[in-house]
Amino acid sequence: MLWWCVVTSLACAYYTLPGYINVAESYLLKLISYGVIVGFQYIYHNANKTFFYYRNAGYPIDSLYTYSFAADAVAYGIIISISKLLLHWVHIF
Amino acid sequence: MGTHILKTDSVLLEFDGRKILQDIYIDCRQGEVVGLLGRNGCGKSSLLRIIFGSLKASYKHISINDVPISKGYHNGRVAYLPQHNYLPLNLKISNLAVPMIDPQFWDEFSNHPIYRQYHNQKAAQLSGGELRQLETLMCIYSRADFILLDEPFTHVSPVETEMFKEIIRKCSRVKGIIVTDHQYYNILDLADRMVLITDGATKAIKTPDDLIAHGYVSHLREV
Repeated sequence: MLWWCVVTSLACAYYTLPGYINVAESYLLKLISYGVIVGFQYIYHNANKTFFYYRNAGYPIDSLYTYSFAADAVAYGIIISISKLLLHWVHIF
Repeated sequence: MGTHILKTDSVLLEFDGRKILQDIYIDCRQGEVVGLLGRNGCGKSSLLRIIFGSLKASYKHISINDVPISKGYHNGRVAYLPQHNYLPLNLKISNLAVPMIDPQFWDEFSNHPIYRQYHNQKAAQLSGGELRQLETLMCIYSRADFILLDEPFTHVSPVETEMFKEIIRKCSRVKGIIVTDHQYYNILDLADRMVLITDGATKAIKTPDDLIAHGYVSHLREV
């Protein structure tokens, strides 16, 4: 899931930074990517086998997804903001 | 702290219109081991998964101390050992064990040879048998008040079976444990009382001869 989030963040940044899509549209793509990974893990037998560990350890699966996606969305926002700022400065100087 | 009691009643489970479970009652108190027996496909694993909360039944009534619960794993009340491997393979075993193991049993668990040998390694580095042994131990020593063990003795050597039985007995002093296995003689040896699932319904087993009367075995194995 970590690699999926990294790849989708890079893909969204690739289209957002030159201005092909705006930030709101890139977040919509991120949202779709979250749906895809949840659906994949739900179907993929080996992924949902480990759900038993997290439940036994007292971690609700829903909360794990929520925290992971929230952290990814915040990290993506920070990276995009810094990148846009850097590009802006490069453009000025 | 009083003794908690887990009750499961009125479970209805259907697959493709075929009723698998329909007249179920099973309870378990902290301080006892309940053996759950039944033929292949009778619904033993399904019943345990319904109690744990990972399988949805058409109808069920599950409670702890008469307070209904929707899923056993909520708030870590119930732990479940599935028949398949369940540990995430790419995480270090010590990191996996700490959140799951009951602190009162930590010293005992951490002194176990399998943990001492592999605690700094990832689960993927263990052999199939070692991984199963570790997963079973982690479930038995888990923080939950009630522990559901689905075939803990299958594919396990006799020496390890005796070791698991000893640990289950020890942990059952403070936990309620429901255990199912096709090695019925181990269940007879371990359980304080037994329940048989036949024709989708639970039957209390008073004596081992009841297993013959209900057609579960043709004769009892000498141990």
